[in-house]
Amino acid sequence: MSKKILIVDDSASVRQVVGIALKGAGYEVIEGMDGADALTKLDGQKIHLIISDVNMPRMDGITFVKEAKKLPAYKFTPIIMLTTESDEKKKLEGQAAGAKAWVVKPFQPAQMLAAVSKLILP
Amino acid sequence: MSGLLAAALAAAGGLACGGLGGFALARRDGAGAASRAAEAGSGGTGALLASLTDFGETVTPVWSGHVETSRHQMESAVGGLVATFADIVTLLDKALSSSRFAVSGTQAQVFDTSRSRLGGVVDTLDTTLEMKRRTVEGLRMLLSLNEEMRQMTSEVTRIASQTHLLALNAAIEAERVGEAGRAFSVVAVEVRQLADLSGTTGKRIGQKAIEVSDAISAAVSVAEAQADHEATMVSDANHQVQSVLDDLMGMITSLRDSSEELGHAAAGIQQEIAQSLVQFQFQDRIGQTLEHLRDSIDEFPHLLAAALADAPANYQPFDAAGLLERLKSSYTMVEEHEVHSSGEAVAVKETEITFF
Repeated sequence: MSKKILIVDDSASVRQVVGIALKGAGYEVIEGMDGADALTKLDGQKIHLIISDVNMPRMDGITFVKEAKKLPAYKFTPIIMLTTESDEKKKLEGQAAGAKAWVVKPFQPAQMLAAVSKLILP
Repeated sequence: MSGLLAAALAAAGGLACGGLGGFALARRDGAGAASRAAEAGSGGTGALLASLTDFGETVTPVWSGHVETSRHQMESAVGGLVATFADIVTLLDKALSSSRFAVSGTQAQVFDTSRSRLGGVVDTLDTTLEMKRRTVEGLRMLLSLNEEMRQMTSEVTRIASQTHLLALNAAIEAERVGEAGRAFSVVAVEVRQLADLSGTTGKRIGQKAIEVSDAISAAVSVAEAQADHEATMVSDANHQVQSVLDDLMGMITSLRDSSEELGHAAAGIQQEIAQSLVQFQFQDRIGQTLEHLRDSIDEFPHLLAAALADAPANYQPFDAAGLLERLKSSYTMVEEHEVHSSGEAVAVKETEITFF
């Protein structure tokens, strides 16, 4: 059974590009259009890893990570921030919120897959 | 007044450097500011301020609109392209799966099964042929036995003849003895009659044996002819089966080779597309930069209106530095900061991953 990854990004094209890379590596992918939408996906289903953008409408990525970590089922789900944001303060915010890695776009699929492989839950 | 002019020129300079214009609030606040600017002086200063206000009201909304429209169009177009390429990748995935299935062991299994089944048919024909051969052998054996029987009937006939002679001699001797041999004479007559009957029966059996032998010989001939014919048929069938299997194997090999080539080509295309899709990330980056620019453009008329909010004597300097600072604070990408500092185009940085 393939492992499931939630991609959260307000850009449909980014979601698709990330999705293609992950599906090509055998992962199952579900999508959230922003933080608020992604929270509705955290309905108890098993999710092995989350990849989230930072700057999004309605609910930004940092807030989403904080909210996700409040849910017992996803307390230990590893989260990778995938963003154009490279500000160190933002990175520290992400780390404090509970993110495990910070990937600055544009990403290379091989590097992203390596990060996913390193962090994903067994 | 010179400070005001400097502010206006600074604003104009900001525009020339890439600061654009906004619209909603500008239209709301701009009318008063424009009239106040026009009152600021009857000379060139008043006209300049009025034109700048007009600029904020009319030009910057157009710039902002174009930026936003371009951003939307790019997002929509790139989204459509990515979706199309994603579909192509999915279709290639399916094609690759089919190709992998086609070149998997399934074909070999089908071939082996076909060969096994056809071999079974040929074996059945071989078995039938073997049974026919045994039948012919059985008939030949029967022919041999029948010949033995025919010889035995000749022996019986010969014995019957000798018995007849013996009975005749016995009758003659009985006559010579006279009354005492009368009973023996009767017996001798009976024996002679039995010998005659045995001889006749032996001859009939011999005749029948000859007829049976002829019938068996005819059957053997027919069976041998059939066996030869069937042997030829089985041999032909074997060759035909082998020929069909060879053709089938050739076709399977050819199909497998072409499927493998197709699979390799499809995999290559899929990788190329996947790699190309990565390039579409530019849309997300450019989209964000355009958003930041749009917001800065939209802020311009607000700042101008704020600068011209009071009476001409109290006009405030245009806050170009503040506008620039807020634009800078909206940046998310390193490249934006570098462009901001240098005013020149910069290359996009490589992927940067930080593990916490």
